[in-house]
Amino acid sequence: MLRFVVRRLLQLIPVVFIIVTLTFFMLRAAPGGPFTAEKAVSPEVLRNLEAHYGLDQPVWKQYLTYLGHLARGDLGPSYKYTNRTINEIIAGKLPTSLELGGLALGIALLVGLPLGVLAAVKRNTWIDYLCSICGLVGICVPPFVLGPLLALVFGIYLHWFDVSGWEYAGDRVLPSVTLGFAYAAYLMRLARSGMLEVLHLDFIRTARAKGAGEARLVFHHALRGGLLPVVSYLGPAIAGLLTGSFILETVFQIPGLGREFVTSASNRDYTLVLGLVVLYTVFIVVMNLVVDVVQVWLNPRLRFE
Amino acid sequence: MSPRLRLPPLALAFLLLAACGRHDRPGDEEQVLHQGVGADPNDLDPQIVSSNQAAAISMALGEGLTNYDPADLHPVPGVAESWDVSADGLAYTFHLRANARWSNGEPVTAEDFVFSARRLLSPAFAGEFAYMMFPIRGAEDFATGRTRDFGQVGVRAPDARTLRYELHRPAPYFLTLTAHWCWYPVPAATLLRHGRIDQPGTAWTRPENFVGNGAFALKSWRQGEGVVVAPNPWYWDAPRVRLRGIHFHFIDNPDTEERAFRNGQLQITSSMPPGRLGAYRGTPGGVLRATPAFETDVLYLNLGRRPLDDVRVRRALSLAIDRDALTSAVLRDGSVPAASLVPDDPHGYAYRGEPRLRFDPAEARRLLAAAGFPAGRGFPPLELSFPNGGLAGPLCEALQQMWRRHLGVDVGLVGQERRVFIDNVHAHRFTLSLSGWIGDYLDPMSFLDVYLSASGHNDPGYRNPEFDQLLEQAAGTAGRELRYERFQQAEAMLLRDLPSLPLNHRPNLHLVAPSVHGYADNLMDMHPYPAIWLESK
Amino acid sequence: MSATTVLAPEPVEAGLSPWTDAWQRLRRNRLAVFGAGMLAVLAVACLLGPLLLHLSYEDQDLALGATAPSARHWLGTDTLGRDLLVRILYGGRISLGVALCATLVALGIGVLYGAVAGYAGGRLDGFMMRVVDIIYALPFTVFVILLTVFFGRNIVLLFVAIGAVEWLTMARIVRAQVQALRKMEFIEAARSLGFGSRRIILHHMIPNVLGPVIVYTTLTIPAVMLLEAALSFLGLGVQPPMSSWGTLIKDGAEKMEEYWWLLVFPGALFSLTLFSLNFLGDGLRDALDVRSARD
Repeated sequence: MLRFVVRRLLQLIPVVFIIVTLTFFMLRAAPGGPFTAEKAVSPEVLRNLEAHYGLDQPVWKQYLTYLGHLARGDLGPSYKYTNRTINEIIAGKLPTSLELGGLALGIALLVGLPLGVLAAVKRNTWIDYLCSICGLVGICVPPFVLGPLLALVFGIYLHWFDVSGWEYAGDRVLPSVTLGFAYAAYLMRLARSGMLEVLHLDFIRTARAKGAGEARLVFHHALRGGLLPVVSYLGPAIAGLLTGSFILETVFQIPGLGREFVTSASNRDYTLVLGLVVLYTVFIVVMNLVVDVVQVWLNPRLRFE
Repeated sequence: MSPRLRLPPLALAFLLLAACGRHDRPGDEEQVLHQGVGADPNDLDPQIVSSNQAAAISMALGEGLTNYDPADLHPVPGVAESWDVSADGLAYTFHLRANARWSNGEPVTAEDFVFSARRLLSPAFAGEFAYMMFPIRGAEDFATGRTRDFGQVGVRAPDARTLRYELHRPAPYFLTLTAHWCWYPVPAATLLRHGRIDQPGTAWTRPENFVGNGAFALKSWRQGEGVVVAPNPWYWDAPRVRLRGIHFHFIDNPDTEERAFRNGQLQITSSMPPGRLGAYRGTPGGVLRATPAFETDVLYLNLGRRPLDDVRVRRALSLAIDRDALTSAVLRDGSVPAASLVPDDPHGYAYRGEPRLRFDPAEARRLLAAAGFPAGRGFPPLELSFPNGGLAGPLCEALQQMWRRHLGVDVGLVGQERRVFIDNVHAHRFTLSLSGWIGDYLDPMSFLDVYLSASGHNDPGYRNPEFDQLLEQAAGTAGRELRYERFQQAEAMLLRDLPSLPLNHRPNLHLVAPSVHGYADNLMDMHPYPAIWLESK
Repeated sequence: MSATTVLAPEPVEAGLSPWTDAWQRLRRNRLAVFGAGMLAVLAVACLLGPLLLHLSYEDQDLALGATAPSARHWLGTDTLGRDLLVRILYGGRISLGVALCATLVALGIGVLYGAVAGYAGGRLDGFMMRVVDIIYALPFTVFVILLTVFFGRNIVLLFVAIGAVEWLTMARIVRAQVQALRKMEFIEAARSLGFGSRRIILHHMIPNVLGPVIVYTTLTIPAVMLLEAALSFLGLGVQPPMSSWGTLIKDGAEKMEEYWWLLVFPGALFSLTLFSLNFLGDGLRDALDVRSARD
């Protein structure tokens, strides 16, 4: 297994290289630049700005310079925030995103998985219908509706929480509940479906005939196979969660990376977009690796290849 | 444990966290102001700050030669306690206070202002606002690199407390320029420790290094969250400053900001979601501040595209716009319909001539027919482009309907991502485009020089030598009355030729808590902090 | 006693093909039938309703502004005085159309890609999944902006953009299922019988992964509808004055407190579509699940 993990981690290098190359040239191809503003700066000022940031070099040269810095771990200066480097921006905001994502994930797993399993086990009973309806409601009410709604009800009307900011412990509640609820709905539906696939297989019938109790059946036998779709969904979902959610951060004013993913592209802050893309890639590849490892653990018939 | 039993403990956890959810933050009682300032500023360097909202922070941390009087924006002494203007209006001599100091105790000298001017005008610094100093003799040459010798620029410090500017032509608004934050002095010693004079974006603006000469000193700056400032004991007017601290919060979504205000987390907001205006209209106590701003929303017309090159077509399009309906029914954000291009300054210039913009569909139809398109027949389909977001979409939809209904003309709508839109407009890849213009300094020149043939901001492509001449003459006039008279003529020319169609003037929109005193509304949205204090119950 | 009366032959159970069997089971599932019916009603309403109502989605009445539901405007009007019911119906055309196309793309590409990768294993699988990772990590905003710049404004582009991202997670889910199935006896049996890979993938693998595929599809559709609203912000997708459910809900969410109907009605139809889809999806899943022990 170790060889498998190492090999996958090594694959990170060509993957990051390809993504950085594609993103770099995509950004250059997009109209507008970091200094495009409604009041156009004079040509002299523009020339000097570009010289300061090295944007007056031929594009291929800028590309190679960037790769050189990237290899040393230097993601460059930000074009928008003049006195900060990308490394600083990411280091400053990543912990917040990790915290928000982690809390939301925790809620999603604690609420979504059990409900999904329960719904599958008690299929076509009122419990199943209730859980399914809850799940569907979670999908129908998107975060940009639920967030403000919760802020209004629990913040402004009931005075239980602040409606923005990330300073105090209580500030974590509304955003993570909003985000967690959305993911819980997905997890619930996928878990239910996955479990249903497995619960009616022959080996379950055999185990039941041999006298295994319901709980043991579910947890010991069925769960491993039933959670397969959940696990493969969770891989990229966790990567997305951890790098922040744009909508949540806007609604609750959270200093995370989610907003930067979108605003950096709108601002054409080339280095920030590239830095975030590299970060996201690392997360995705690592999470997919974790997912594949977990899948093998869940299904012993699989082998690492 | 059955999954069903897991829910109540979760709910319990929720309630427990709710108990520590609300926090009593320092506020009215402690004379601490919480103000929203929009998105993260790109820098706190007063010569780099580019957004008007972030400039509020600069105004707390620094001060210029002059300040704005909050009521009518006339210049009042700042770092300079008095000044003399030569008879021909070309030389300004400022006498600096003896007790003007930086936040580290060092005195503010005239040399600091010379240093700062040199920095802003240095080509390598690439200062966006360098053009504000162009009235100074030789400044433009130095900034564009035509001369390398800063000695040619008309700024001198004969002694530590005397500062002299020489202009190349009269600029009666000069004293409002010196109040702008790009004109604030920067601390030479601190700056040079972290980089060269003309090197932008160095570490000197970090909280641990920052030095300013304003009423407040920088305490902390957390990205994505906010800036905290505390009173500067070295400020010359410190006894007058009643606030004990200001927390600037970076909240860029107006709905989020409004919720924070309603929840008591902010006392002043940077803007307002237009949809919520109705809810605040009835409230007394001056909570809602919707006052005219020095801004105009315009439709740029690409004069190189047929049939927009025909002035009758342009006038027809303008006369078919019901600006009252736009502001009262579509925008509903406190905007006022525009009757001219330059917004009225109650204490200065206001356009009083003819023509004025009005709604006259019958006349519009007549003009369109005269131009060869009776009832819109044969009129080529045009495209109106706008940047996505906010009220631009509904505004353009309303315009589309107005032209269709009153003129029978079809205009397609094209919403674009903001930078794509700007890029297209600057490259003249548009037919009609929705834009806006904010005046950087309180003088009609800040609006009218856009339409000079040589202006880099002349997006419609208006080339009128007569207008150029008229404007140059007005700009060189020293006497106020004659100057305004000439500006009237220039503006009248623009309103006859209509290279752009002014639509409305946006308001300065703020929510201000009743406990805030000294926050006066004015055209430029400037609110000096020494005047502000909080009433505690 | 006659020999004929004692040994009456039992009626032979007519063998049903799996599809007929599935169809019969689906018909018996009341919720699924309800879901399908509801979807049909919505589709017809969106297609034909505007023609019958004779109201325009873009005629503004600025003086009227936003009004609550009334006799004249059954679902109220928006801030520009336009009838909300008509706008929802027109919007439904866009949203349902986008949902359908994106689903087809995701199913067509995603399922096949995932099945091939999962079945093949080894280096091909690794390569295919890394391609998925790369597409996943590319900045979507920039990609969409480039699409609008290079290909102009085209409704087809909307489908391209959405299709380009929606098949990725589907592929991953299918791959995981296929990997698990690959080791099962019936697959080994099929292989030992000499069936080729293509036949195994198409006839044995894919029918057995339909469960999670159907469920995930019903989960993607609402995401796609909301994604379309985000795309219109970037200049792709519907342009004003045309609207879609996504843009209507987004606008309504901003005006939630003043004009509740602007959010509630589009939201209600959106939810109704979702619920119907899910009931239908669950019914399909149950009907097609050959291993579900009902006999």
